[in-house]
Amino acid sequence: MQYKDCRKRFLNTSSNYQVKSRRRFVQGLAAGGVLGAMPLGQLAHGQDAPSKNSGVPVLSDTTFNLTIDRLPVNFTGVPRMANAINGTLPGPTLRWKEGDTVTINVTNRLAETTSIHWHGLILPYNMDGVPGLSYPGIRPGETFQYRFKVQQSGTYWYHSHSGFQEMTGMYGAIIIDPAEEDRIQADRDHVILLSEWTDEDPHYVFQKLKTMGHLYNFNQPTLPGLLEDIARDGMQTALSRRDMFNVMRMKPTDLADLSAETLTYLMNGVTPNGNGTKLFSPGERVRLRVINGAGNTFFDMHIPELPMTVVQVDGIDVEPVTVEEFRLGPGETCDVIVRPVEDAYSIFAETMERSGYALGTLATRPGLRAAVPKRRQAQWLSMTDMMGNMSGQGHDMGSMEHAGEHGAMNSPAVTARHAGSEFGASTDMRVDNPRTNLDDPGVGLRETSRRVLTLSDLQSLDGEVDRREPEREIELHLTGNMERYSWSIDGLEYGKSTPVHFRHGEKLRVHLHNDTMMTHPMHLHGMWSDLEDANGNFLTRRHTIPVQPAQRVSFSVTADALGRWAWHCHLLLHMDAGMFREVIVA
Amino acid sequence: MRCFISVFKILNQLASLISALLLSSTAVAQDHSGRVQAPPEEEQIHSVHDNSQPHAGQITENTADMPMESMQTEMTKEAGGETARDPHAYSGGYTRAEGPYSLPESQQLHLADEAILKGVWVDRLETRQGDAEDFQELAGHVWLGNSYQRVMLRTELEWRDQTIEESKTELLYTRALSPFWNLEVGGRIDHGDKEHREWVALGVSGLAPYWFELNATAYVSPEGHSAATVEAEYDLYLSQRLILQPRMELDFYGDSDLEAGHGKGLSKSLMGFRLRYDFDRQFSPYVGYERVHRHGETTGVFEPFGQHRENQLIAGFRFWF
Repeated sequence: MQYKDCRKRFLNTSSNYQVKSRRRFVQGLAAGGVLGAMPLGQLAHGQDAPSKNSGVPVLSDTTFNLTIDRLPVNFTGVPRMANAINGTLPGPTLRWKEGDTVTINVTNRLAETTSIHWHGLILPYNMDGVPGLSYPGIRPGETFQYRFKVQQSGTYWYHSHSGFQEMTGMYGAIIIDPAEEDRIQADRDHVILLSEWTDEDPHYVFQKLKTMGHLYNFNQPTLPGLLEDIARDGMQTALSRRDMFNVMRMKPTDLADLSAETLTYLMNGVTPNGNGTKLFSPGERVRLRVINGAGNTFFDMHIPELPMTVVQVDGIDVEPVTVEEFRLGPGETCDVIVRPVEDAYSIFAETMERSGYALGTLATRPGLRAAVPKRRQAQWLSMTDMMGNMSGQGHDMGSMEHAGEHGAMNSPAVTARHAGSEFGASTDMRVDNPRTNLDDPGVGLRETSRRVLTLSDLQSLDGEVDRREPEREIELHLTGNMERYSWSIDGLEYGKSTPVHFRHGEKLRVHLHNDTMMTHPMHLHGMWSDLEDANGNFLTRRHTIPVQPAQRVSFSVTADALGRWAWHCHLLLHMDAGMFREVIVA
Repeated sequence: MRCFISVFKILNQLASLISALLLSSTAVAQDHSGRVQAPPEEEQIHSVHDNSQPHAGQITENTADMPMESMQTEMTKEAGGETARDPHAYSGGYTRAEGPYSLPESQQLHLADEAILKGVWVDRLETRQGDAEDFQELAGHVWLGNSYQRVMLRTELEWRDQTIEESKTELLYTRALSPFWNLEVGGRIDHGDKEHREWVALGVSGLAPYWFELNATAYVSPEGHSAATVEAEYDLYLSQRLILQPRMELDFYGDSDLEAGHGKGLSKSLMGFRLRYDFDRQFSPYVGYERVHRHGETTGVFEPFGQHRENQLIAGFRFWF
């Protein structure tokens, strides 16, 4: 019902079909963005000050009034309507203090139901903002009052949880200052909120993907590519490289459902041409709070000539680790400390499928620009992404111990238990022996000389909070069918599913096993996902866990939050397609 | 709309029945262990699979290719085999609809997997220049449904000088048999120069390994006549937007019906290609060539017009929305 209403609403205000060609990655209008709501110059050049985003207001209080309304925008030369929070895109950055009780009055001026979800926050289930689970949503004309105690600190974000509203502009950053002195000391503090914009109606995008799953993939294997491979590696190698993909009807370049063919990538609501600028003085310690608020895009974040020290992930302080690049999926956050000394640096967030990037500048004064890196070639998915644990190859089934002997000591071989419902039209592949190692940066980042962050690098500073042994284990499989564009868990879409029951107070272990060739950022509401390595050792608390193709990632949950909660892939199109479970804690 | 949904539901029931019949008969025939369980309907329908036991380092793809072939062997096993998990085992008896913390039914969450979507696909809107004459053709369908079940109105029209000369129109209900294959049931009406014919249709369509798009449909008429059509095509990417599409079509008839323009057996074969340019994947002009052969008795029908062996040059558009 909600789906239909949203779609109708969108169609009233924008043309839903245009023939257009975007042969080059659209970098957007230099002066693009929000029309009329604020001076364009402010967005484009960012008269910046510490702890303030370019053009994005920061609200710092215990009571907030947010209004959701339509907003004219123009990112590509085509005027469109966004759904915006308080008239800006992104919405205002909310700055809270740990221990405070915050009150947020959200008024809906749209003609459809809306909602705000506080991503990663620990709060009562009826304050979580998922329409249909936490509450009915905020109806047109209504004001809903959220009120909860802030029990954590760090970088978070908020967004609409209604249909595809998030993709149309409804997201903003949350900064929560710790009750005591912040362990992370910095002279400057900047939010880098990555997102994306499409001029198309997201509902129509979804419907089109149902007809053609590779609609936006313009990185298909081609005949000239095959001939090149044959010339370089010989016929045998070239053909065998393609054979398994072709037999299985999988695309080796199926890295993302959407691409720059329809998306323009934004950093703090500014297009790459807009040169969104963050200021610093040489020698300062600058904290960048990087948030991926995109609907469907993984970003690989890199600042040429500037190493980044990761100090916090998903709001949890971690052992500092210095990297040159990190991948961030929708819903994840990562705080880094940088010490820039030159005049200007490019903040370069290239998309995982390499069709475009979000871009901003870190500079000593407005108007500067640094060299922009070239986009890299998209890498093909590897056998690891299809087969999972390759070390077990050649052994018979039940080779758990054997594989262990053969060098995979840190990532024990496991055998998947598929659900009966995975043996159906909803599931186009199943991995029997997933890889369990967490030190893989993922496709496209494997063959680089750069130091790239992986899940295995993460170690929470505060250690494990719940030290009990998990009472039980559950295994869920992430499933899909790219040809039908169906996404599910255990082969069942949300509409066919039953809730996952967590007993109140128990600690349980969850294995998320990926039977698809895409990476899924899995977001559990209301409770932390305590990430573990394959041997059950605690690493850090996450609210969104990326699971790579043919990978199994395990985490523990302390089921201390009564109520009904959402648990889903944070790629919005996958979420709405049904890769979604309700969790009931009772 | 409401009426359409009821039609949809009726067809759904019908296809469930057919699928269930197909499956149960095969299962009974093949399963000697007596281990036929009765999983929920959804699973039973979708149990056409390769569920070979897991091997270390291997992946089991869903190799349910041509359902006709694979159904025989694969029906011998239950969905997922003995080790398969019950996907509802973690529910603890709770449902989404009711129980603690649940919202009233009208306020509960529904996602797009429960929505009915629709689309229009015009595969070929083209002009054909034959050796003897020129004509125009439209082939495409409109659909309504979801990932696994659709109602489809499919048509092929040929016209010349603004007059429709020949048409085939099918109303089909399609249902997923396996990850890449659909069952199609429905009816077809042919309008020709003089005659019109009605058929009941039963077919499969889908994607074979190595990306061949296949569609094979068998037809039976109320008078007891039979026919079959097989179509195959392939997309060869010359670049990201320039795509060569070889295509083949074969028409068979069980009986001679010269008034309707065909003899018995293979009546027509068509082979050729289209070279299309995807401005985006939704709008693609193309040029192409097809060689049409009439076979057997049908040759005699077309020979006087010099159309029994014909080269046709093609120009047209593919588009969908």
